[in-house]
Amino acid sequence: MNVWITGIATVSKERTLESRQARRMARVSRFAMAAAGEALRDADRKPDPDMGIVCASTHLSTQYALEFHQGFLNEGKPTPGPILFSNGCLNAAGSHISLEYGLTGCNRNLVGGMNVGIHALGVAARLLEDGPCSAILCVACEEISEILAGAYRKFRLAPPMTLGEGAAAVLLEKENRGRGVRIGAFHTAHGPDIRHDVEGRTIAQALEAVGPAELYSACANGTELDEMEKRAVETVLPGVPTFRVKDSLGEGFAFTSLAQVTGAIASNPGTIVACSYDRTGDVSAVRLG
Amino acid sequence: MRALVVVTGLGLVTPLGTTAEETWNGFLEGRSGIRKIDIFDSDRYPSSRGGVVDRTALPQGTRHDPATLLVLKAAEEAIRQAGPLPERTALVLGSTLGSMPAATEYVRGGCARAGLLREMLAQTQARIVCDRFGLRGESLVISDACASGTNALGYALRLLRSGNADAVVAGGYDPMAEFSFAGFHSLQAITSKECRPFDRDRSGLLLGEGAAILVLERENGKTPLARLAGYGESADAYHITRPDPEARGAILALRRALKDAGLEPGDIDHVNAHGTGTPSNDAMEAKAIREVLGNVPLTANKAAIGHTLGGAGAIEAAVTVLSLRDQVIPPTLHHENLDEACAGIDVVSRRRDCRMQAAVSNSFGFGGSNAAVVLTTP
Repeated sequence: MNVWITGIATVSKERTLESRQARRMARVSRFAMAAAGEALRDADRKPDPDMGIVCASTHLSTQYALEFHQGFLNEGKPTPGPILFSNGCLNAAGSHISLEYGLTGCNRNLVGGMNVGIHALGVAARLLEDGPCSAILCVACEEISEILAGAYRKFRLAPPMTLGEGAAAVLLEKENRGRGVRIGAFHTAHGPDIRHDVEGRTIAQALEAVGPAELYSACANGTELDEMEKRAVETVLPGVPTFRVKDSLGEGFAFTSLAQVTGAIASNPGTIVACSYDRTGDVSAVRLG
Repeated sequence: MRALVVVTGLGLVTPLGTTAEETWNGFLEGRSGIRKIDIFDSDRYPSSRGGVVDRTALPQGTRHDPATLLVLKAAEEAIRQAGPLPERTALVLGSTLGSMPAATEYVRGGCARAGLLREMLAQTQARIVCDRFGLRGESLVISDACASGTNALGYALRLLRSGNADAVVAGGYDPMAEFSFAGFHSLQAITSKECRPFDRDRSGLLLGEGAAILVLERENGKTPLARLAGYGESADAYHITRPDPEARGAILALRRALKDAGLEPGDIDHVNAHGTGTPSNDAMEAKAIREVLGNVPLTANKAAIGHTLGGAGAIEAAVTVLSLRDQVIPPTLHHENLDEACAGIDVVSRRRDCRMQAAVSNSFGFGGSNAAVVLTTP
């Protein structure tokens, strides 16, 4: 692909935002906005109107969705606040970024499982290659809320999942301006439920499709799925050192999927393969450098 | 040379019917699918009406939620019509809120049944469709509010042109949900009267539910229903819920769609409008159509079935395919007097037979997502 990552950002703590919009935003949108701003600064590029945004999340703002629900269910208000509704919709984070930076190229919002951050990177790269945008900001974001944490506790995953929150962002451009990292290949596919894929075949196919690497950025989320990933990597990328972000960031779903890319780029200038997968059977992999 | 992409199968589930032909006949006959909403306590709201699908016609005896049933039903019809699909068949769905009724049930039940939260996620519906029909290509859910379905078709077009898929099952869906019903009430966008797109007496939208699935393939010898010739998108960067009154984003999306299709404005014979029936959206859309396409006959389907949110773009594109197939434009229900703010457009208020080769379907979502597809006769 003729697409370069020219700026990266990983945000896992709340930042103070200058934007007036930020006061009303859900936390997940504030994470996304902060990461988008940092990626632009990292790339040393000012936003222009032909730029686009591709934003991914698994749950977006479960807190705002809960509060809006409580408004019409528990408090009996037929019309609870419009701010909670509009900010609780799945395209809120991307729309705020488009609005803040005046991006009119595209405003694409994706929802998906634990692979959707890398999937979004591939979608953004394709849109940039084929479409009218001058550059694309790709952001993946997640927030932890009581309702989300409570639900995952009830899933009784073994070992338990440590949740994480934040946003990762990359700026994609058609030309390398000095220190960019090229997107070499991208692959995504839907396979059988990953827990039934004991040999990790869908993951192995994705790794084969994107090619060799000097560093492997692992999805490795500390759940029962890890053995399959290990088998796939040992088969396709034997001896390649593995990099993990979830040890330090927790399971941040869309966020940590894209953070596999930003974290690996920050730590290694060589050829990187990053792969994310979800229990639904969706697998996405990308080769960088 | 770019590959030509055609529609080889089509499925529709709407308040007018649970097959494409039932829905199409409903539109042509000028029927309304709007009724009192009885799937939750709608009496608490200023308006209690909307477009609800006949749920008894959906597959029974499964544990699936209504969102999944809607999309499965539409997909089954489309895939059956398309016939055997290649191994690298992708799924691209558009949805505004996934299965929000499951989340509502979760909260209502004191957050006890965590499985409902998983059901809520749009990727769950995608997984079920992929597994049911053995789709092993890319699986993607786009959530660009009311432009989701159109953007799903646009992305599918790109996948086929670039060779990243050999066929794509693409479309959109959204179920009637109290969450969105309360949400659009809170935005004061819902009318207590009829939805009257582009009419001077319009006062807002009515919500609906439904799904549309189109099977898209590169030209391959199958008899196509239509050709998906072009796609354009843009973002307003104007307001989180309001459209840009100058229609800059909508104009850009329309121009990009025409350019992508290699057509001139004069080549477009018909527009299936977004036409929500809200004062600001209709005026904005009329301005965009007038400026880019001129006085082209247009229809707006939402008056008959309500605004199906993530389903709307795909449903309207599917109706456009049927318009091109049968060379007839269905009426815009309840449209009587063109509003001055919408002057210069030709709203079809009675069924109109006419020769058409190319048509556009528009969608505009809040958050400022604009999208248009160009469809042509095969």
